[in-house]
Amino acid sequence: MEHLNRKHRFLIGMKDALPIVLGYLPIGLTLGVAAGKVGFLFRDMFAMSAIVFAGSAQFIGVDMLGQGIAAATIITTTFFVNFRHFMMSSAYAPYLHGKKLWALALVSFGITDESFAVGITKAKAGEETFGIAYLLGLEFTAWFAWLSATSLGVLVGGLIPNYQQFGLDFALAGMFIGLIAIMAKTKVHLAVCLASGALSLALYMIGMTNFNVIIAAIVVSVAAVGVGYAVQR
Amino acid sequence: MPSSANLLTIFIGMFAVTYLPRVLPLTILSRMKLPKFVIDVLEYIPIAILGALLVPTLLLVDGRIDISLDNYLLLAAVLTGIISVFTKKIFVIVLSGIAIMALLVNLF
Repeated sequence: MEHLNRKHRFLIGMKDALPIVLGYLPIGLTLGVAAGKVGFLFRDMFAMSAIVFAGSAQFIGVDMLGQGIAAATIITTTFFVNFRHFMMSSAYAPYLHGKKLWALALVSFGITDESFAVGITKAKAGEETFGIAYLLGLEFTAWFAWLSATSLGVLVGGLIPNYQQFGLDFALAGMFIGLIAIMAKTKVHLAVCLASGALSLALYMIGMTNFNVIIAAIVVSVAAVGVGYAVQR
Repeated sequence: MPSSANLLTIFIGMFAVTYLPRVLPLTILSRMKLPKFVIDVLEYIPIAILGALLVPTLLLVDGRIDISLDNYLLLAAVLTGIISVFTKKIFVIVLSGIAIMALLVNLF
């Protein structure tokens, strides 16, 4: 089999980003419209999406800016909202062992829920395609789509069609389901997924809206490993 | 609403606190030999994260749990989940799901 060069891997990364692009369209437009309503200009939205690149934090940030909340508060909130990405960054580590620092620094920028979901699935599939070039293709495409959708939202304001009728609301959820199906190699994986989901939901319901994902994922994963060790004795 | 210049300063601050958790673990841990326990846990972390992200998204509508046929997202997800048993092609799964969602929204 022909060894894939960097350009090929980059292009495959871009291709794998398509479901993310589809999912980002409705969400990005919505954010842009909301931002426009509180006074964002096109260049403000463009800058925010290009520099921060974090959906949920941007939604909250736009809302807070509209309310005149202090910058320090907004930045602190952003930290907590995005903190879960440290877990995703850690999960990539074994698969990017020994890569150049500047390359790691570059691909780290684009770690979001969606790009991580696609990227880590690719890494775990053990295909040679995964690597820096792949991640750059994946993340650049997602970033560009996000930046375009949000900026466009500010421009078109209330003129957006009712996109729900096209079912695009489901794009990201569908992508996540597909990736889970690919990654669920054993019943244990599936059990971990469901248990983590349940715990995450429960934690969210009792008010842990920022840490539910982190705590659920770590607790359930550690428990699964612990049980595995115990069973092996 | 702050000026564009002030907004830019705020965005840079948001970037800094967002980027550090994204870059530090990867750059530091990828240069270390990780203990077996950590590697074993990291085997499950990705699918655990996906579950932790997905379940609240599907079940929560306006902050309350909605497990009913009115929750189209959940319904489409269940149907899509069934489809994913038969095919692992992301495009098929995503597009089927979008089509199902569009049908649900437009017909009911």
